[in-house]
Amino acid sequence: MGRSDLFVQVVAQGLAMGAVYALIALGYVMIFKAVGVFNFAQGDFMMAGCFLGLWLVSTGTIPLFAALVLAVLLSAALGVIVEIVAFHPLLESPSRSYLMCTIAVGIIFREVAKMRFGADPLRFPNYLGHGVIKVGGAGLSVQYIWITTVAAVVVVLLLWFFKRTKVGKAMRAVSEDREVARLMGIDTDFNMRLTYAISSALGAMAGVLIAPVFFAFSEMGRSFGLRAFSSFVLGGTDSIVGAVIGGLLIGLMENLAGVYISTQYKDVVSFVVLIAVLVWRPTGLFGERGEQRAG
Amino acid sequence: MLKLENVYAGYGERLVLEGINLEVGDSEIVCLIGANGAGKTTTLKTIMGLVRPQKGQVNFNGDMLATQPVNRIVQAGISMAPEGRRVFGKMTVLENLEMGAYLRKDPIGQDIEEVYRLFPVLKERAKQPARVLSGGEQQMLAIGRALMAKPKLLLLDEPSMGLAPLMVEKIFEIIRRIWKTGTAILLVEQNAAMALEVSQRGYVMETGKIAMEGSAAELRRNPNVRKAFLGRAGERR
Amino acid sequence: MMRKLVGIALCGLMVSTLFLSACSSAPKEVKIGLVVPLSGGSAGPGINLQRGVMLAAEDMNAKGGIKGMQVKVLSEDDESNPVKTVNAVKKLIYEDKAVVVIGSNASSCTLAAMDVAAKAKVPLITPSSSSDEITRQGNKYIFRVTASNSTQANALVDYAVQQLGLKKMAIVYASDDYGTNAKEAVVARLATHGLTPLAVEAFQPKDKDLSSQLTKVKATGAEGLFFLAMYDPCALAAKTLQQMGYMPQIMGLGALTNVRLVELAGDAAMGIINTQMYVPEGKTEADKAFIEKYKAKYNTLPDYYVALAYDSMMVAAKAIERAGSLDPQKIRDELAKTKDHPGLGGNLTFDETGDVQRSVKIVKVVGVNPPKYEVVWPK
Ligand SMILES: Nc1ncnc2c1ncn2[C@@H]1O[C@H](COP(=O)(O)OP(=O)(O)OP(=O)(O)O)[C@@H](O)[C@H]1O
Ligand SMILES: [Mg+2]
Repeated sequence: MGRSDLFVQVVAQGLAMGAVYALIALGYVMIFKAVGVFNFAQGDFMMAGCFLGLWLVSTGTIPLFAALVLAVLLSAALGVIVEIVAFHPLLESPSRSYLMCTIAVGIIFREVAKMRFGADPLRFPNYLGHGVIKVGGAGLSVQYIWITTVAAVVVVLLLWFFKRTKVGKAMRAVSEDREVARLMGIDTDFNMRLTYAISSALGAMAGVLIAPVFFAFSEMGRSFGLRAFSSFVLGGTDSIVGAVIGGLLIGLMENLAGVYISTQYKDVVSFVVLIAVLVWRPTGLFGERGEQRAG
Repeated sequence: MLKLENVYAGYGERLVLEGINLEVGDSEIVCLIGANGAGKTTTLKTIMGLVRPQKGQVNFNGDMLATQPVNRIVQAGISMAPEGRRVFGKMTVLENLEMGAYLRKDPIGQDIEEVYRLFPVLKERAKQPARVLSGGEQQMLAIGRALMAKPKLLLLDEPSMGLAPLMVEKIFEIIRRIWKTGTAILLVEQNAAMALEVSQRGYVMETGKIAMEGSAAELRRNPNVRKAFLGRAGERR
Repeated sequence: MMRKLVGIALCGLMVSTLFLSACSSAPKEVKIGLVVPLSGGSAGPGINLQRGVMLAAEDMNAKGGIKGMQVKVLSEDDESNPVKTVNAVKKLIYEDKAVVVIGSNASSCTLAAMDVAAKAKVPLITPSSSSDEITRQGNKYIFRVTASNSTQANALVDYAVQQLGLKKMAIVYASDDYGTNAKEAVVARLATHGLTPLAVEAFQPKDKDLSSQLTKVKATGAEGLFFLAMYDPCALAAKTLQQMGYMPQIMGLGALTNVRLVELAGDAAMGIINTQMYVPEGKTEADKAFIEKYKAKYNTLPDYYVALAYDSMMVAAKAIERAGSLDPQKIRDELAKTKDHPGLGGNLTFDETGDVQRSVKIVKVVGVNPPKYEVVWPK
């Protein structure tokens, strides 16, 4: 494998991982826009979706793809239930209570997963095959191409949803001014539930996309969720495009740093870049909330 | 059309409205004036269902609104342009208008055109995010957005706040035009002189109670009103 | 009347004499201490180690025990925590008066408990701790039944170079005690063949993404990859390599022969080779009998932990027999003389450091559903 092949390989892997971070980060964005709080359970929604998929597949009664789609839908429902039971009562409380609640929900998710599935990683069915497309000396896995494609389609659909549909626009309105949105006749409770449904489904999608390579384990929400969180902050916390670019950048940076600098420093490099960007632009690459506050 | 009977309301433990009685007749402009913190905004929010009355009734054409959700109240035919305009800054002017029509199932193209006729500047800026509009333009958008619900009764909370005198004139001119199309208006204002000029009747609020009521002309003549609200504005005339 | 009384007294005397003589001439017990993780993350290996020791003790007792003395095994759980190992070994030696202690599993636990055994002058036999450090301390009371990392590395590297003809090698290792020690052993043996690894990459045991390390390995074009870590990260590595369309020969030191590796990695695990002390092949009569008994009792095949523990107990029993005494010092001296003991996985000889001289097998994953292994070395 030549130098340029190596570069292609690293960039392709970085983009695929970045696409996964972006999907999870979009969930962070949605909740932050709706409630102005970091949802620290977002990574664990991803883990929950993954285990739901595993459980549905293991029942053996449902075709594989149907099981995965069902897992994403069930995760959406789970998001709604958690919103109603845990988060909704805190909507008018100080945001630190809400934040603590998201942390607590994450812990509960992880412990339940540990009790039900154990602490060790579990094999996830390899439904995307493991074909490899040779590009020069580099090998691009079909699975990574799928991950990137699905993430791209989801992002485009999401952008379309927020830009073009009535419900999507209403969600934007609620995220800007919940009280005035109510004055428009928008059912803000329903909206909040829909927000959780979508963000949880996004996490679940990321989960079932990467589990065939990285397995399903109860702590997966933490290791992938942390990178996604960096992506979300880098992108500016309230921008869909920002989360996507942030995810791709973190994915690229950690892979480039791992190969061209040192594997010991791959995480350090992403965090240094993140901090540097925040010093230079406190609102992140695409954030606007900070400007508004100042204004 | 609208009748508040002995309404008590507030925020949590804090009681703000202490027995409000107020009426708006069909195709009437009524203004509500009062000092800062008297409870004017709270009165409007109570009508809209954003604040729940603890006691008393809000009767709208026979509908008892006090226990209904906001969207039912909007559907019944009341909409509001809130204090401080509060347009959706990141959404375009057109999207703001669409949000105003959120509950409507019928086509809204014609009503958008009508709002554009009322506020031509909004048409020019249709594709721009609302936050780039000037204060006056944002006020026009807030009113336009409220009109998109096709209300029978329009609640306006301090539409002239923070605007240049020329713009204030313009806004009041528009309020008059809206009223002429047959929409009843309940107008909350700091600018009592202008408010009493466009209105037919008025109420004066003092710390959660209606202190005075009467025709606009009566109130304009009332020495207490003159002293409290028409001070400088009155001298200017 | 008098006669009657005398009769009763005589009877009583006889009975008590009988009783006393029965007591003094009855075979005493041989107390063997066992300390392994029976709970926590390493409970799996620990339970199998315990089963192996128990099975060996039962076999001995069925044959009449050691010189007529029954073997009694006293088990302690150390949860794979060195502090608990130290306490357990103290208890077994000073309170329970064990004459030999078998344990523990993790190298760090054995390293911590060794000094306690030496101070008490009681032999400690570790069935499965493979760190080279254990037999490098000059401790006279430690004996090891599994091959050390460097013994395993020597066998594996020799096989890779001489049998598979691999020249371009890379190493990926976990930056913990085991991985670091194993890496050094592999690098040293490669050097004797005049080879330098093209890439040596570390990862944190908690890392969940190894793609950077493996991309670097891929870039070197290595044909052989020594993966020196536990089976979970190896499954991840096998999967990631499969994603890259790059299939070097993956080789492990002892840690990769686990059904979980194959379960997790699926067909990506095919062809992985790993050093091994024991495979239930049933080639000797003793092994056949062992497998039969184990299967009858636990309804599954014995793994190398069971075999290593069984051998540890048997080596101890033979030493006690030769010593003809329950004096731990004498038992230690006999243990040190162990030569060509016919263990389940091959003959065992202790050298002067207490380390074992034994053959190392190399097994290969040849089936994934169900998992299947084949011994590829010795042929
Ligand atoms: N959300 C709230 N929670 C608690 N108290 C509130 C809230 N909103 C208003 N108040 C209090 O209720 C009282 C009446 O407020 P309100 O906004 O109705 O007055 P206003 O007449 O509209 O005043 P202004 O002319 O300043 O707009 C004030 O004392 C205010 O502090
Ligand atoms: Mg007010």
